[in-house]
Amino acid sequence: MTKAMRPGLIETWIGLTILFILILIFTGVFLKQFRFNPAVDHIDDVRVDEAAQTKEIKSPIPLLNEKTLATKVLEKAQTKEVKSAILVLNENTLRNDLLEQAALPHGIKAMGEKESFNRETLSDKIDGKAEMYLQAGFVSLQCRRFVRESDEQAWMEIFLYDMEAMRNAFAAFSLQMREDAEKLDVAEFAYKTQNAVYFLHGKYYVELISSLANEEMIAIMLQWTKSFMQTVVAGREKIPEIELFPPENLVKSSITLQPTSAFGCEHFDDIFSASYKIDETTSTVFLSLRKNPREAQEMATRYREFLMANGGVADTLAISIPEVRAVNLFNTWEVIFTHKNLVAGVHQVENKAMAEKLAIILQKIMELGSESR
Amino acid sequence: MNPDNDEINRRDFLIRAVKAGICITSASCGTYYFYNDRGPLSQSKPVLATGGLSRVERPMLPDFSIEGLGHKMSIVNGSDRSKTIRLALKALGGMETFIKRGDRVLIKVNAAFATPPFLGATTHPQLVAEVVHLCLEAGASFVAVTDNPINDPVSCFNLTGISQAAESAGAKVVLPKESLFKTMSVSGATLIQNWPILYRPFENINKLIGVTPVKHHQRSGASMSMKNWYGLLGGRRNIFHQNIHQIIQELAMMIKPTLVILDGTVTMMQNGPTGGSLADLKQTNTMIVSTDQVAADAFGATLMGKTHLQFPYILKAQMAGVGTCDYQSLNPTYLNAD
Repeated sequence: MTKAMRPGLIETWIGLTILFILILIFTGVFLKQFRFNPAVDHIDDVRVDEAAQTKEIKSPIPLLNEKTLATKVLEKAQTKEVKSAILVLNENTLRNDLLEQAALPHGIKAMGEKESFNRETLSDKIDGKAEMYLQAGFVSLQCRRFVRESDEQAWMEIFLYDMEAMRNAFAAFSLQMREDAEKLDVAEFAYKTQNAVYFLHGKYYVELISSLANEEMIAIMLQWTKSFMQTVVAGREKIPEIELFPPENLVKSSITLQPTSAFGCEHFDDIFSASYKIDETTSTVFLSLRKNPREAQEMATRYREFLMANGGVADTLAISIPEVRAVNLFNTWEVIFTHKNLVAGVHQVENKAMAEKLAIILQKIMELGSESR
Repeated sequence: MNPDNDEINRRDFLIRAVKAGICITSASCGTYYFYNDRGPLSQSKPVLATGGLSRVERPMLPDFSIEGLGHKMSIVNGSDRSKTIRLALKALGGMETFIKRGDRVLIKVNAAFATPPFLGATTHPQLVAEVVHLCLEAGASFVAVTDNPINDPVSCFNLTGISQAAESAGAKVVLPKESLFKTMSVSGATLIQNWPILYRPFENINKLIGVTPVKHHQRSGASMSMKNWYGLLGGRRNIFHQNIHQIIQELAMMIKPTLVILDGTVTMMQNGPTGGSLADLKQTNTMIVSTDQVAADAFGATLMGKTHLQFPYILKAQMAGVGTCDYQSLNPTYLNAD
C-alpha cells in the first residue's frame, strides 16, 4: 500500500468513533425492540363501535408549559436587563398556581404533590367520568391533597377543573348535583354534602372531598373555598337559560345543562332541563337558546324525528301553542315547540294533561322573557 | 504517479467509494428488512402450531375455576361485612370448598382510586382483611392482593386502607410495575390482542378471587365483578372506554376466577366510578358470592334499581358463554346475617 492510500490518524479516529456510535445505536435498538409496548401503537387497531363513539369534542387547548415557554423566551433575550425582567415575570407566572393561591386554613398542610391533567390525561385521574367533562368543554384539572397537621386521617382532596367558560362549568356542576345537597351561600352555585363541598367560580368547577364526614372538615373546606373565591379573579357570565325556567313549582337545584346528546338524541345539544312538582307529580321540562329561529326549528324537528324513530307515535294536544308537536312514547308524553330562537318542551311526562299544563306555563314564560330581552 | 504525493488517486478513490457504497447499501437493505411499522401486530395472524391452536390464540391465563363444582351463588343481607362474607361462604360449603391446604391465592381487589373506604369507590379494607383471613384459615400457603389502579398505586393502596388491611391479615400486596406486565391475547377477542396485562402476580398462583363493590359507572352503567378485571389491563387502556361493553365482555372471557365476591353492603348509585360524596351511596346491605361472575353482576344490577337488560355487557358476556344472566337458575341461597 502506498503512503497515499493510508488514512491519517485523525481520519482513523473519526471513523472509529462513528463506528462505535453506530454500534451503540444498534445495540440500543436491538435491546429496546424486545420491550416493545404494543399498547402504544395499538390505538388504530381498536375497533370503535360507531354507536358508542363519543360525540365530537372541542379541539384540545394545550396547557401552557410555563417553564418551557420561559426557557425559550429567555434564550432569545438579547440584553441582561431584558433577561432579568423575564426572570421576574416568569417567577410570577409560575406562582400563578391556582390551588396555591388560596390561603390554607390554619393547621392544614399539603399532602403529596400537585397533579395536573389535560384533555389527553384526564381519564388517568377520574377514569370513565372523563368523557362527561370532555364533552362539556374541559380544559385542565389541578388537584392536590391537604391534611390536618394534628390528624393524618383527616385529609381532603381539592379538584379544580378549568372548564373554559362558566356555562361549561355549570354543566359539570349540574350533572353531578346530589339530591340531598345543602345549598351554600358562598357562591351562586354551591352546595355541600356530609363530606364534600362543590362550587362554581367563573369558569372553574371545584370539588373538595374529605376523608372524614364531619363538621370540622366541612368548616375547613368552606374556609378554603372563601379564600379561593376572594383570591382568584374569575369573571361571572350570565347563563340566560336558567332565568327562563318559571320559578313556581320548580324543584330546587334541579336545573341541569346537558352539553351533548340530551335524552339520548344525537346532536340535541346544549339542553337545559329542570324538574317541576305539580300535584305530587314530578315532571321534566327542557329548553335551549339557539342562534336563530331557524336553528331552533331544526333542533325541534330533529328531536321529534328521533322520538318517532324510536317508537314514538304522533299525538295532538288541546293547547294553542303554535306548531307544537306531541309524541306519545310508550305512554309517556313528549312535547316540543319553539318560540323565536328558543326550543322547549316537556320530557317523559306520564300524564297527558300534565304535559299540556307544563307546556303552557313554559310558553307563557318564554313569551314574557323574550319581550323583556 | 508520485509515491510521495499524499493525495488519493482516482483508483484509490473509486475503490473506497465502492466499499463505502456497499456498506451504505447493506445497512439500508438491512434496515428495510427489519423495519416494521406495525410492530408485533403485523405478526398477529394466526400461525398454526402443533396441537392445532394458533400461537396467538393460545390462552395465556389459567382457568382458576374449580372443576365439577358447577355454578353456585349465595346472597346474604347484613351491614357487617365480616359477618355477611362468612355467612355467604358458609352457605356454599365454606371457604374450604374453594381453597385447599397449600393453595396459593391471588385476590384481585378494586383499588382504582385514592379515596377513603367509606366513599364506596374501592374494595372495602374490612372485606379484604376478612377474605385474606378466610383463605389462610382454609390452609392457603400464600395470599397476594393486587390491582393496577387508575391513580398512583402507592396512594391508592394506602389511602383506601387496602394495603394495611391486607398486610395485617397476612397477605402480600403486589403493586404494579412495568416488569410485571406481559402482552397477551384472548382467544376470540377483538380488543385484547397483544395487550399488556398484569400477569406476573398470576405466576405460581392456583386460585383467583375477585372482590369488588357495586358501583355506578359513567360509561358502562355499572362497575361490578366483570369490570373489576379492567384493573389488570396496562397500557393506554382508557381507549377502551369507547367500546366499554365489548372490553368488559372480553375481560370476562379472559378471566375464569375461582370465586367472585360482589360487595353490595353500600352501593354507589350515581356519579361513578369515582363518586366522591356520601350522597352518592345507598345502604343496600347485600353480599353476593358466586362462581358465576355474570350471574353475580345480574343480581348486582338489582341493587342499583335496575335489571341486567340495562347493562349490555352482561348480556354480551352471557352470549360469549362466560356465565348466565339468569341468576335464579343457580338457586342462590338467601340468608340474613343481622
